[in-house]
Amino acid sequence: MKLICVGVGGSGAACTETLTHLSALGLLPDGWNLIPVMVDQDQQHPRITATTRFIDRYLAVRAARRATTLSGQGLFGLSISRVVGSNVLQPSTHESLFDLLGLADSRQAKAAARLLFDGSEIGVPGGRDFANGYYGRVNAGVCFFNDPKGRDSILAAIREHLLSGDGCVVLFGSGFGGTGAAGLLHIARLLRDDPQLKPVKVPIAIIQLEPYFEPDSSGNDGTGGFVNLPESFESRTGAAYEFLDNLAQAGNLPCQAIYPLGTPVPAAFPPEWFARDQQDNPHLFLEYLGALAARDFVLNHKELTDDVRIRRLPVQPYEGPLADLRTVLFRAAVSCRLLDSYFIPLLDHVDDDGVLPGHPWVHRVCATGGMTAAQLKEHFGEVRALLKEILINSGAYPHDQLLSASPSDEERERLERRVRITRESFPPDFLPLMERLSAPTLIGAGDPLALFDDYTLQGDAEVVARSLWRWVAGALALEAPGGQARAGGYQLRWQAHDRDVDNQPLQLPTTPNDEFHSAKDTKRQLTSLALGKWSERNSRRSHSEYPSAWAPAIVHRDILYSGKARDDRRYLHLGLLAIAMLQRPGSAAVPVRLLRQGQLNETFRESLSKTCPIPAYDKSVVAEGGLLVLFDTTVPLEDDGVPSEEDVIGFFYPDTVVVPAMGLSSQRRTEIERFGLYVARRGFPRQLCVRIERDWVQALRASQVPNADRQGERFLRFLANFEARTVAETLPPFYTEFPIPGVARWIRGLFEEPQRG
Amino acid sequence: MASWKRHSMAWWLLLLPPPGLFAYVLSPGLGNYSEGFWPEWFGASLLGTDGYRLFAATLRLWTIGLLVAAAVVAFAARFWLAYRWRKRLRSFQVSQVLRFKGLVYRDLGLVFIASGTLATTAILLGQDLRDVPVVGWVVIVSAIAAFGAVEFFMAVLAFGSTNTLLRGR
Repeated sequence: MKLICVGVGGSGAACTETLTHLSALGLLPDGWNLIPVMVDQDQQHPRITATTRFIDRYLAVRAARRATTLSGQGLFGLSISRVVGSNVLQPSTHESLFDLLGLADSRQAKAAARLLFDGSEIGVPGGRDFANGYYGRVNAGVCFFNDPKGRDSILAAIREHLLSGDGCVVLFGSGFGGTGAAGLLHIARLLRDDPQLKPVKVPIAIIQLEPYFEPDSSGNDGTGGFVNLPESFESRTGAAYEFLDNLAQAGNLPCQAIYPLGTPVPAAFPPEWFARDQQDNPHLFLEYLGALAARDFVLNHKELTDDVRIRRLPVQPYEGPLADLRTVLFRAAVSCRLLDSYFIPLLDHVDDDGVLPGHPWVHRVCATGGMTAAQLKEHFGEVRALLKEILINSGAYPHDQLLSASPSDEERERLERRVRITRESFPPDFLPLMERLSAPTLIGAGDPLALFDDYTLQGDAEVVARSLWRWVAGALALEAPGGQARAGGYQLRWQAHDRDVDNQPLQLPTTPNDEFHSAKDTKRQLTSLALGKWSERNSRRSHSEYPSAWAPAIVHRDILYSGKARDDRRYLHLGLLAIAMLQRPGSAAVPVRLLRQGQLNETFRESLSKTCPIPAYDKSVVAEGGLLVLFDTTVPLEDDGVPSEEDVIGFFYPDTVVVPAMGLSSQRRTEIERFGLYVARRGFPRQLCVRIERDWVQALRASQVPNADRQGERFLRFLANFEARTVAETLPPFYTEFPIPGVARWIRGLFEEPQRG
Repeated sequence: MASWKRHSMAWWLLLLPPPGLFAYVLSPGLGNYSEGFWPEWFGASLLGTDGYRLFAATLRLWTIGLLVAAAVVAFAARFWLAYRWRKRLRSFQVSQVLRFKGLVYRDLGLVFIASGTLATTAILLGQDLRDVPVVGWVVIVSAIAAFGAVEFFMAVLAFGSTNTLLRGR
């Protein structure tokens, strides 16, 4: 069986690295083959380079012996495969939206980009704004993931391992960053919708991390230099859950299981660690739980269907998967210590014939595999190095054992802080601490004369350390921590006693032990997670939080219908509606143009169609695909002319009818708001409401708009909430014809004369 | 049991020559007086007297007793050696586990001394061997000590675990 573990973004890579480490220690069940894949724009991310380096060394250790094809339990028994040379994939070769969306050559693309992205996102030709990741710009991130080159390479690399039908996929990523939030769902959907994989029905799990680190607030705020704004972590997590919740409500989840993982108290990092090019965070316990979640999916994927799997906070004495994790870390610590201080130095004393009196295993092991004592020593050295790397990542080594020969004060302080943060993220008495570890005490029950007794060439393929690992496993007498059992809680940011945004208690499943547990009702669970007070710190949703190019439409809808919309937004919306629907002097037709998808480059087209939250894109948004652009210009535009990017002011979208363009200038915005106020006083909202209310919901239904009843009623309520006419002047007449044929039913319905009676 | 612990029965045969040699010299049917060679060597002054038969029987009994005691010391020392080595291995300190042969040779000397001391003490405290000359005492003590040491070494070789530890293969 194959486990394809895809780490998206920095946190995803950290989880992938951890899973790779733990799998090397034998945490996965027997017979599984791990295929780690990391997807990130920043190919030089420290977690990615570290994982690649580890895999290289792991494979080299196996290749140096006869273990290239070894597949078995225990140390280094796991087979790790490559998808490409380095197991790292890039969503796109472009580094700016401007280049990615082909804005240099296309007036249409420029206009469309102006609608959906703000100027800072679009960037300039040859810009490198997204060279190292998407830094919280999830809406931009999904466009990069829709670059056909990157998308095809990701799909092709993963697909070949799945066609045989014996694989499953686990996707790691954070819901609070940029790359992970943009790529998790995208890759899941990519795999689910791939025609070649449809017959295989690949089991897919998404392991989504909630914010588990944040800047230390004890010092100065220092937020000015943050490249990935941490104050919006929670808000973005809420948006990610909302998006998942919407998919679940629509029965459109692209995976069998979702593992939300968080912590009530995120680790505090120094603010400077959030700066650009400083993103080399220490490992944290939650990443190890991510690896356990992958293991849980491997063990249980056949029974899971649209499940949300939740676990409790660790409780002493640790049991189930946590006990397994703790044991495996202690085994690694003891083995590493023995290799370091005993076996490797001992081999210096072997004579030329490979004989060391008192230690007959040396001669036997060497003779069995046809290796010399020097080769055996080299092998032990390589194994020790890998074990040490695993343990360093887990925080087992104290910082003073990791310092370079002549460390600077800065290096010493940074290392000390990294180790401390990692250690503090683990539950009490969970980690082996190398400075206190007494290997002889822990393995006192083992018979040292039986060392390497069970080593066989066939079973271990010259990876002699496997036999040592088994001996340590048999000899290790690990006491369960005897501390006070703490009251349970959930491995989530918000707890059952916390209230949601509606001040209701959060609904969370019962978790009687340290295993993962499925919620009874997936939809309700995701709703509950989405309703946590994620927005408490940042009450305004941002379009950059949603993994969709259509994010401005979703955010505009949410704000407009929330009941908390400010007047300026309400009048802006009303102004746009009026521009679209009321005849203006000198303008014979609705100022609208259809930007056909064919006029955009492939990435832009795919971004629009693949990330649209409405499944029936063509029937619901516009009939023939594309964008219906509202423009406002004083210069007459030819019938088939494309408005300049400065003149586009909004686009049509069924939930709110129109959506203001992201790139709207403040001056133009103010003008439209004033116009909205002008028409509101003259009774435009009421008139429009009367004009469409009879058929509106039905029109949305006919256009296959999701939640048509709810969205339709919300729009009508929005119109009805304006005061009745306060000025005696009358309004210009409504347009009665939409100039573009073949558009969606709801758009035609807006312009049809209402039938009397 | 791993192959390095597999052990040939041939090593056990090494335990037999020393007792066999003593069985030969102590055997009552042999010698000019049919009381064995051993009494003849140490009881020359009693040869032909009435007390010679009693002396020979007493010397045989004492010698066999001392040989058995020396063998017990030798075997105990072998097991003690294995116990101590295992304990040293459990410390997982390289400096403690480098000289197995040295440990064996040291124990060999200790068994020699212990067996010799045992024989000397027995002869000094016992009343029955007063007729044996001083030179005879020295020879008997040396023989018993050597027997113990040889048996210890043979036991180390005969038991598979210590054999492979000693040879390192």
